[in-house]
Amino acid sequence: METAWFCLVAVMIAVYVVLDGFDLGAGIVHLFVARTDVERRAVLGSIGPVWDGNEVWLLAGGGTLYFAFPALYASSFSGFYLPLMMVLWLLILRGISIEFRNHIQSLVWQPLWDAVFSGASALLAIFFGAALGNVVRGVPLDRSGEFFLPLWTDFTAGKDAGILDWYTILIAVAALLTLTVHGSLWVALKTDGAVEGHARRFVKGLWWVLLAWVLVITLASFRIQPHLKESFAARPWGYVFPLSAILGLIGIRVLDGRRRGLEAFLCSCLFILGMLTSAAFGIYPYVLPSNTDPTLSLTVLNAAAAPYGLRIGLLWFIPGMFLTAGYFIYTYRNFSGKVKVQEEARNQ
Amino acid sequence: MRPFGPPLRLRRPREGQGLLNPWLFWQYLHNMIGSVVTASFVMASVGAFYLLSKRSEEYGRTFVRLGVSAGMISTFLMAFPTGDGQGKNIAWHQPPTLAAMEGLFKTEDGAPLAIVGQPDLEKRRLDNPITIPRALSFLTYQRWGAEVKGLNQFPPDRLPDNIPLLYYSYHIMVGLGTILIGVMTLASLSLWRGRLYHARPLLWLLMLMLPFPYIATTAGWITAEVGRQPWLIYGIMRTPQGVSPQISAGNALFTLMGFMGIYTILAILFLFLVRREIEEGPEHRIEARATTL
Repeated sequence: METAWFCLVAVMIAVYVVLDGFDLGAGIVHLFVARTDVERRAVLGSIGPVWDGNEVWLLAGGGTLYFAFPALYASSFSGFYLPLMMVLWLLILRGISIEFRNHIQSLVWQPLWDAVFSGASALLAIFFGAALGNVVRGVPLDRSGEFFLPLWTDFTAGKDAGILDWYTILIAVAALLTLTVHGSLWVALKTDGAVEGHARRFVKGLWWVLLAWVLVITLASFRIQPHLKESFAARPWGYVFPLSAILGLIGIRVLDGRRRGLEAFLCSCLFILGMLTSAAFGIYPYVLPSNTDPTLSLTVLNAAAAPYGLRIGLLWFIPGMFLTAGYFIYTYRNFSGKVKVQEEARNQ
Repeated sequence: MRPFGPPLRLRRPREGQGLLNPWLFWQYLHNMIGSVVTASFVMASVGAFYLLSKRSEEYGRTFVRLGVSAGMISTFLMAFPTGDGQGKNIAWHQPPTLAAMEGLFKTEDGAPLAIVGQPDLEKRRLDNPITIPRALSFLTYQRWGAEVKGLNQFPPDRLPDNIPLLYYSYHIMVGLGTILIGVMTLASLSLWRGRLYHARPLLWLLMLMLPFPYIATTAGWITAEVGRQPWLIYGIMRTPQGVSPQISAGNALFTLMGFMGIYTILAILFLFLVRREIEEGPEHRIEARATTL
């Protein structure tokens, strides 16, 4: 039962990254792929109907975490107190920049909010990447399962490391690259003309950087967290996760080259899902490893809620997910196809 | 291990108990209708502004009519049955909170309802009181002579830790709520008799009421949050038990200031944009849309 909930939480977080990832990515490339006001409206229009729904997956993921692994929730939300608060501020800034931008037609007002939108999106990608890096690296848990990390100390990834060290910065940049490519693919899929062209050029250029970066973080992760090697050695079927990530990464290049926008975007989803499930598979049964004393780590067993609650929760979770999936299909079908830039201009 | 005593042992809830939580029904409705009250007053206030300044009068009349009609219904529902239901819940489930809210220091048969007064914790009495005799007993138990438990009935560690704040926020909420009902009743009568659009004093009143529903809802929130102290989960988990022991006060102050900064910016932008919208008038939007179609 605990393992089932581990999988559910991992999948929910992965779905969040895939969904909110493309609108964060669209925000990151917003300033660069769209130059004129009409073009920028097209980019915003492509994520307009879905971005807030996508962000709810973060809340849902957090809620599920609180429900299924309360000890992990308590420990990590106070341990990562500072970065989580900053994530909140960035989410607020990002949301208001989308909403406020079109209230005033001005050469000062709109570029200001476009820059806030882009900057907040990029910083969010970096924060989420650093968070993942911290979970893989481990944190200094004490005997009562608590910890607190400053933002940075000496960047060594040693026992006194803060939230940012060389390893977590590597992962943060990887997240930024991944979501930039992901978002560019989405923008290319949903727009036409100059914006689509710019976005496709972004994907082409960044793909090689991303490939190199993925190789680097894979090697670094195995060095920093020896448990990953044990996991894959003990259950070789787990190689299916990194394999699907590689498949997705290659697929992006091949299919985008052939102008198959939707398939290339789906490959990017597969790549992200593959990377995150690999990480989750690798650290299982830990949910938050300790980097000082492995016996103090939080695992699926010592962090989980009581079996009764988990059982009842699963019963409620399933119909809830059906409702969510139904609504999801409805929304995306309603807003399928490319955004019409002219049409978008009138919805100011 | 934990600085605030042993880990909590939580009782396993009965099947479906979470959904049958007695607070859920009244508190949810009281909250939601509170938003409708605020929206009604904003609508009526903006409409009154247009009528008084003799511009966009067609829209002004629509706004006032809609705001006053919705406001009459929603302000009434705020008091009865939702506010009443919420109050009885507090009497039943959080009796120390009720005593503090009402400023009732001593247990009494036929307890009075305090309209005005300042709680004096040292002398354990209400200064400068204006009260309605026996009304609190009646409102709570529907019997004029019923006993209502006062603050003296409970050990100090079960009392809310800021009794004056709780007393004032509750009285501000209820007092403003009563005034809001009164204003909406006057406006409804005038609207019904077809005089409201030209009744300038009443339009002035409607326009100036704008901030008060915001204050009332905020005071209501403070009442709920201060009222349940010193508990995080009432009767089960105390507030200090929920503290994150590793977060230093310095870090907490940093984020508090960050939030204050962000909310200040948001408030300024909100006022700026709303003022601009009202200044440009409702026609502006509709024309802008028509020309680009």
